[in-house]
Amino acid sequence: MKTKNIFEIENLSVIYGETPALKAIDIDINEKSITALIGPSGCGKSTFLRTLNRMNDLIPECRVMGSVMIRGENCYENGYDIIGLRKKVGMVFQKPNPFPMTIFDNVAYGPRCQGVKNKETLNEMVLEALKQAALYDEVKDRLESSALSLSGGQQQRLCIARALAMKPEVLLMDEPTSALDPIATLKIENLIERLKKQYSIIIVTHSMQQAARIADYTAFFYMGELIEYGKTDQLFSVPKHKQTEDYITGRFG
Amino acid sequence: MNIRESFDISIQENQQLIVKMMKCIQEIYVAMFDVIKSNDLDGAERLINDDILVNEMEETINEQAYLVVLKQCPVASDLRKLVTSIKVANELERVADYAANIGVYIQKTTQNNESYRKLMLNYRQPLLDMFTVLIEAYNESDVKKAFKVCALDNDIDIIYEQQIKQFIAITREKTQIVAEEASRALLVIKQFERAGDHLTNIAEHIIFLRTGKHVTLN
Repeated sequence: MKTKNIFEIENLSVIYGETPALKAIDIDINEKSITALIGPSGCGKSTFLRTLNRMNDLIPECRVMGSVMIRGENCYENGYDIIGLRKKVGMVFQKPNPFPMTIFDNVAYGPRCQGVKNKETLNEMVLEALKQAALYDEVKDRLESSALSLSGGQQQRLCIARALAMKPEVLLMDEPTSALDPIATLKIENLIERLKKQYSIIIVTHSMQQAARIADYTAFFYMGELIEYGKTDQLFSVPKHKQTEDYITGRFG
Repeated sequence: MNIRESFDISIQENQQLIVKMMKCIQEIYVAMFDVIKSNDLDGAERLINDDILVNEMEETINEQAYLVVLKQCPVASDLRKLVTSIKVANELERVADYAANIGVYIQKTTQNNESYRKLMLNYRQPLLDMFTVLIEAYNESDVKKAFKVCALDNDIDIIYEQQIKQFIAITREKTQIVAEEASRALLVIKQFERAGDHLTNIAEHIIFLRTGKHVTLN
């Protein structure tokens, strides 16, 4: 069965001031699967992730060239609906960053901004997102408590719930477990694997084992270039490029 | 700078244990053919006892490889090296079993086995050559040499096919030879044939080690 692409990226280059961060990247990303981006610090993987929902627009010195097609539309085209893009492409960051408000209000924040006012509808959306993020059972009796009272792992799942409440198609995750303990990490990994049935997930990770465990596809970046991209099972067992082999076996540099 | 020094040392140790086991079994095979040649009962006893030593070597390799996998989470060629070492140790253990079996054969058939023993010595050179090439192939992860091991195995298979006919002829001529001795002798050459197959399996593992692709040479 041929899988469909959620993103088709062609000749994508990103420059910060004078410094090139990404050089002519061509990559297609499969929908409803997990794609891991790996590579040493500064290799461009986070920059790449941020081009997918135009987060780089917030950096004044940053210039983007090439095309990022999402569902056949170039999101860098003039007049492209950026708000709509960020709704379609949710993001979860390295450090859990819940808003200083109640658990309920955190998840309701997005829908409220979208103009959802009906209490019942809002309630349904929040509970569904919390359930999808495997957090509901742990917080159902304290939805009005501060989100900051949750543990780190719970906070991160709350951030995932907050992203899911917007009903995105894509979830971008930038090292979502690097601040968490091993058990909280496995919970998030388990959650990510469940979510891929409905969402396309792209995850930046420094943990090679995490990429090997959960990703269907893995892309290895080095010095702004995409060195190798393929099925995770193949990339971690018989990589095609020596640089990939050196990096994943820890014999780099 | 090598940032995985102790890991590299562990992998080298693993490879050295395999080579040591290969060389040890090659020596056992040299001794085995001497025992066959001279019908040496004490030597036969030693062949049987040597098997214990080989079994211990297999255990050591397995334990070492498991621990490195556990501690280092190897991937790519590192993982192939370690998984292959466990498989190769297992094949080698089987090959050594045959030498012990032949020790038992010599002990049980001291008389009337001469015409058979002469034929058995035909396996000496190809089997010892297989070991030599195999050790080189493993040390150098050399795919070409691995294929050469397979070619040597073909020689053994040809000798084996011819000898089955010769064995039947001998048994017909020498009517005083009881059926038991003839059958035992046949089982012995079957062991040589199997030893060749296992050594060829190891050659297949070496190709996997190098290329990540499974091939069937047997």
